Amino acid sequence: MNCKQVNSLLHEYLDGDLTGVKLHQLSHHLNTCSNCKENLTQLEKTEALTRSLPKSPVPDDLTDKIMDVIPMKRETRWMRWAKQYPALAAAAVFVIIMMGSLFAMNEPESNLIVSGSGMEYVVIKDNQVIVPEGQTVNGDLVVENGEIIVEGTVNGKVTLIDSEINLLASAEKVAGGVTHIDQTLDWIWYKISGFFDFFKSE
Amino acid sequence: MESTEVKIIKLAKKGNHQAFSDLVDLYKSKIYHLGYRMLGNKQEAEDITQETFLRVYKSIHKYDAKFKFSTWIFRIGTNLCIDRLRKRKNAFSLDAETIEGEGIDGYDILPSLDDSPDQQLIISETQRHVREAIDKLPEKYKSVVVLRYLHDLSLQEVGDILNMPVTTVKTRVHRGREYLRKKLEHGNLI
Repeated sequence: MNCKQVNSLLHEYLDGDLTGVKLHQLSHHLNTCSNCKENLTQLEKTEALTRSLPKSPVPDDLTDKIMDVIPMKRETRWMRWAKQYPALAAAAVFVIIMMGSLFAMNEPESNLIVSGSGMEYVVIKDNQVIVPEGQTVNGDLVVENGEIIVEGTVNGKVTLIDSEINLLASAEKVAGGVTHIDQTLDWIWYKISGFFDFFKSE
Repeated sequence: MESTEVKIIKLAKKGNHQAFSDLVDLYKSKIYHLGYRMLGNKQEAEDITQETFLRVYKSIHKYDAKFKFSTWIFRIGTNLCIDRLRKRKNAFSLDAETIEGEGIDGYDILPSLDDSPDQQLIISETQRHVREAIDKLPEKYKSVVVLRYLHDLSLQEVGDILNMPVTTVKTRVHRGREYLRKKLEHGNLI
């Protein structure tokens, strides 16, 4: 066997393909030929050096850069976060809605709102609610952001939210009494207690 | 591990964004390193990684789960790298005369290895030589050597990725190994 043939056996040996007679022949040749033995050493070192090459660090933003070119419906960062922490997300939504409604309530240009069971007998003019003289309201009235002028009689309660009352004669004209609510917290309390009253009356 | 991957691939096939993103996380570094070794610089490694995943996204419906996903994605990535190397070679051969006149081959004017200066300090002279030797490997040996040695894949897997018989892979590994040996011997490294 000449050295050129041996060279191809060396590669087969390195691939782990050499067995039996051929392996024996190679080993015999290497014992007698220092040149081929040196060749094997060099090839083994070459393999080792190539394998040992360190991997360079992958850029941190590689995933984002890849996902940027994928024409897929993008999930926002917030959506991903919400999926990871559903409880926190729900809490955050609650806080945002609460804040939103607080700001909405405190808005200075709020419109007049009138509600209650005795609505059909009242007259509404601009931001004034008038119970005309001689009229009797058989129920409660709630006035928000306005003024109520009682010339007649109210047989129920009058609740005022950021509103004024103008009793032309005496306070007895409101049988159920007058409640003033001017502050936000009071308002929340009023709403909450009303909510529970609703269940009680059911 | 395997079953998680199978699940992710199934979801990604259905168009699930999160699953696709998970798939990217599983394979991005493999494809990036493939590109980095094949093309020799970070910018092109990034480009090739993006392109590979874009192709994966566009043709994932064609992926047959009977075959290994890694083989499939490596095939896409390797083909894209080979295309780039060929285009590069054609671009250089336009002014091949001047190159030959100065006695350097086309590979000598490839974009240099572009680590920052601090990184260069810790990369040993030996490593630099090995990287240069791989960089200068002719394309058909390079893909085989990179897959076999830098990704530690079996000869059979390399054959599956490159769509060629194992005997061809072996011949190329032998030639590539011999080529590297000569380069490293020349640099007195072995």
